[in-house]
Amino acid sequence: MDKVKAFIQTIMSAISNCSLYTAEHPSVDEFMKRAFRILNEIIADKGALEMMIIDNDLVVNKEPLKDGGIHAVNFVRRLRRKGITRIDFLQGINLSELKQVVYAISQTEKRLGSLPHVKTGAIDVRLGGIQMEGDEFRSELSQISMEQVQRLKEIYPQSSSPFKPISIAGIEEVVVTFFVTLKREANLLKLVSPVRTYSEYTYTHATNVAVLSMFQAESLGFSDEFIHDIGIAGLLHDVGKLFISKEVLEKKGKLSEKEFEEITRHTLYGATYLAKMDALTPLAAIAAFEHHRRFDGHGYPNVKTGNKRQHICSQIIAISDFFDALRSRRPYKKDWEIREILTLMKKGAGKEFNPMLVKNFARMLLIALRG
Amino acid sequence: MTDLKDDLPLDTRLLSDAIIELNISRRNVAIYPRDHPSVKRSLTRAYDFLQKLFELRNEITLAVAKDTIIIDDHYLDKKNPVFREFALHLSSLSIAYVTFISGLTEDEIYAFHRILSEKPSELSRSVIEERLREESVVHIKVGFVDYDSFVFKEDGQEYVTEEPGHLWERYIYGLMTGTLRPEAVSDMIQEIPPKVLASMVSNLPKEDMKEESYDRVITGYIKRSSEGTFSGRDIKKLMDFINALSPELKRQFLSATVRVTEREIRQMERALEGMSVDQIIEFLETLNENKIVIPEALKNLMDKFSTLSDSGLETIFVGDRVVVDDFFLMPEIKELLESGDFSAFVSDTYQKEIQKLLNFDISEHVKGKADELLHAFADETVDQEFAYVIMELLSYEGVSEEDYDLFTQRATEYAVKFLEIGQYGEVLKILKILEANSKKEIFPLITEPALEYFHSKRFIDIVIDSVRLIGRQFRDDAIRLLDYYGEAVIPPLMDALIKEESLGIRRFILSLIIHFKDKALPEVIKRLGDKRWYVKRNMIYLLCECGGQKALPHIRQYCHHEHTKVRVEAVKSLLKLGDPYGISMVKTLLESSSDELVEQGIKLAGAFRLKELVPELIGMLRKRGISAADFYKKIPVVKALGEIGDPSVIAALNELLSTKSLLFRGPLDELKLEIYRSLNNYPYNEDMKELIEKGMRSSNNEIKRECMRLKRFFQEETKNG
Repeated sequence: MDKVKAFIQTIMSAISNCSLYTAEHPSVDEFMKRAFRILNEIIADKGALEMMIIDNDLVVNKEPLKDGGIHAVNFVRRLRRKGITRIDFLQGINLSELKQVVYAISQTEKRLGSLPHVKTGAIDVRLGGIQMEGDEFRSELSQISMEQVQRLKEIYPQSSSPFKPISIAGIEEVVVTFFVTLKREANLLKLVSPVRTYSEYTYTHATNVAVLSMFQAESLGFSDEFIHDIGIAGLLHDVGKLFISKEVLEKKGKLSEKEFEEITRHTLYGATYLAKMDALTPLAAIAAFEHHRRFDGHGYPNVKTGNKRQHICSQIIAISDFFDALRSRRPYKKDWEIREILTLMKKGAGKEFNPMLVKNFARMLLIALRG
Repeated sequence: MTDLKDDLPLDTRLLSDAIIELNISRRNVAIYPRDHPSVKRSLTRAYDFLQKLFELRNEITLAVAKDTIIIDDHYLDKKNPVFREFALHLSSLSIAYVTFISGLTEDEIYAFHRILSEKPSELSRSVIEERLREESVVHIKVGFVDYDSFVFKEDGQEYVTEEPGHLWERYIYGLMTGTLRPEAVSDMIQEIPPKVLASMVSNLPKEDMKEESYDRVITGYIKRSSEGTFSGRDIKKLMDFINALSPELKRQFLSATVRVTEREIRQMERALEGMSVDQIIEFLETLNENKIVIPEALKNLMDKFSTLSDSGLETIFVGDRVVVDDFFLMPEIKELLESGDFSAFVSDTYQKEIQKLLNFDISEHVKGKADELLHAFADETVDQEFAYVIMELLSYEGVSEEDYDLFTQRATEYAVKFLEIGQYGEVLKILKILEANSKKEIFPLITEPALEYFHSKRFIDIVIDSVRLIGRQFRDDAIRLLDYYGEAVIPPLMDALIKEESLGIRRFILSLIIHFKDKALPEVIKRLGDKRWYVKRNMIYLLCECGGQKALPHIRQYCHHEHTKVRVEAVKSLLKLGDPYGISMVKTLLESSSDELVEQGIKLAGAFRLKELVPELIGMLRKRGISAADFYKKIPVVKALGEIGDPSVIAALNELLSTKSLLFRGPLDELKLEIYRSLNNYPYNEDMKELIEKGMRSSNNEIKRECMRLKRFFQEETKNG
């Protein structure tokens, strides 16, 4: 397996350099040649290099790859993004074929099809019994419902035992349902769920932030995959609050500076929690960490390794977060309240929020208000 | 008898306890020796629970679907962290199922745990099987994932990416029901969407539908785990199913729903918590429309949940500032929130401005930033941002030791990745954070080994390999990283230089070594002893560049080296450093019998404008030419003299220009043309004017053109002073 890990590391280096620079960059060529050399050694030894992705695990020549590190995680992510869960490198592969693989994986829009000595495709488990087409199983959703909020509640880590890992499959499943809804509903406000009880706020807020963020991302023309990742990041942006004591979190009236400081730590707690999950999009930890950093970098948490601009995903989530937080805290829903929030956001444009995103969000809200 | 016993359902509670105890004993075995009280106690408890289960069954099989345990056709509570941990542990070893067989001993459980707690990377399927045999574990059977069951749908078919977790569940389901086979497709009833199920039920012959059938479908539909709990989601799904039924079936199913939910009122309460007010009202309305009698207990419960609560929605303050959720609001907002008077806060003009945003076209803005946005989601950018978060978390004082350890490992992996793509600044940040943590003595048992790795030969070799490949593109950052390492990188840089085949990369590596100036000298001097001529030549170059005058004694000894390139490099270095010994060495070269050395001497004389050697060079010009080659040999001399531009040469040049040759006219014309091309550096005196006039009268058009150029050039020079 050491050779396989070396192959993955080297091919990922070639892919990264190809993606960052050009396919002709000398580093791409060098890493490609190294990867080719290792690949041939593996093929000489095993006859072929068969890789399949089950869940988020990489299985190589029918043995699961353990401790593959970030290179293996990224390799799996890149292949999944192309819809590939199986890739076989066969005897006789030449450097030109490997180059085509590297190039296709490095380019977002490029499809990776089979080549004479590289077979790509998907894996499936076939069972005996009722025969049904996959699409028939997909539930029909027209709006984000309490059902989805409830589903999130089921899979979200609980404040009673927040240290257990979250079910990534569950989170992804929820986001997929949002996605279907999002594609069918043009009115932003119809996608937002009301908060019924305070205890439910965490889940409803997470759901709303995810949906609002996905809506924004779609209007920006982002690819489905990024919209999906932003949805996941939105759903988990406040997960760190589960590590804060209920007494502080639910305290009414006046909070001491120390208590509020504890609340601000949810960004660090959340990022710590999410950064440990390999299979989760890194955007989740990034957004959890910096969704309160503000557009101008004057927010929290305080950074120690140099000020850095918020990632666009965090900027999007910051807007959704602010909107839903204000909206959910005002129990009586009237048009002017949304306009009021809009005004606050406009005032914060350039300071708290990315001005372009504020304008876009405002436009979406105004359209929604017009019905 | 055995068959009858094996048909008995397993006690869920007992089963849960058995798995919990198995997991506890697994953990204990991994940490403590066999005779430790914790190990003994936990093994006995696990054993006792399994014995109780053996009273119901002779064999208990736990199937593992990634993070879930399946027994018979029931999933154990997916949210239970113990089951999850146990499942993940087994699946990390590719174990698909474990069967515990009656007759099992505590020693076998111990051996099983012991084997499974060995280093996962060393535990392949064959190793586990072998170890179980060695330890005589006969009452525990382990089945491994058969990856052949994962069918390859090759490219060309439309890809449908499975939702994560789905494949495993289907695989294990097929495995347990014996339906795992490659040809057919199936799924579980729970996965059937409400409308599809409704259509299937509506199409069934009516005589087949009895009261128990309705109950069974409903119970089956909402029963999601072995514990029989159901959620608001299940109720909603059930309602979707019922609403899609034909009117006559609808009533039957609604009655059955009320029957089933009333029987499990506490679970119903939990389920209703997860439903919106609207959904509950809709449910009640449907029941009323269909004239279903709702039992009192259920009615009360639904009433309770169909009212809206607005507790917890009040404004919160930190000092004078308003906090909404986790946001600080602007001070003026406080007033607004309190008064609720929006129009007082926002002028009409402002509102109109906001209204204008309706016409805001985001696509116009995005168009110009498409690349930037795409770049933001590129894996490399996201990795960089993620690593930044990791670094922040490493600097955060509240991080736990376990997390710190994990993040340090991640940072190490990212450092390697960043090197591979030339992001040296990021590597430096990681190093600096670890250094700062080391100074603050933050988790020294983790920080120090990490820093040791970053200073190890293995890591430095990766740094050098990266710099070699991509460093030129990020020169400044690369130098900053090399500076961090200081002298430690000089030997590997030298090794890389020696091995490098590309001239461009060699030059770059040389420039990096030169950056270290005299810090590089000891290593350079050490390597002067290398027998390979090209190593010596490079070291002489580096001696000169890094050592300056201090290097002269080391360099001089190579002016007589047997290898021309080494010798020439040494002389060149002396000239660069202004050592007069260098001039005498060039003279020696000019006097050499070797054409190659003479040629190098001429080049050096010209390159370093050695006026001291003009007489020798003029002598070479005046040497009589008896062959075409002789004329050609004078061309480099003319060029070298042109570089020096000494006026004493003009007479010799004039002589050459006056020379005529019938036999070697071509070579002579080339030489004459070269003379005119080399005149730029000479003074523009009368002799020079005469030389140019002579050229203007030449029958050679190229010479004429060159003279016209010269004339213009000197006129321009004169004009500019």
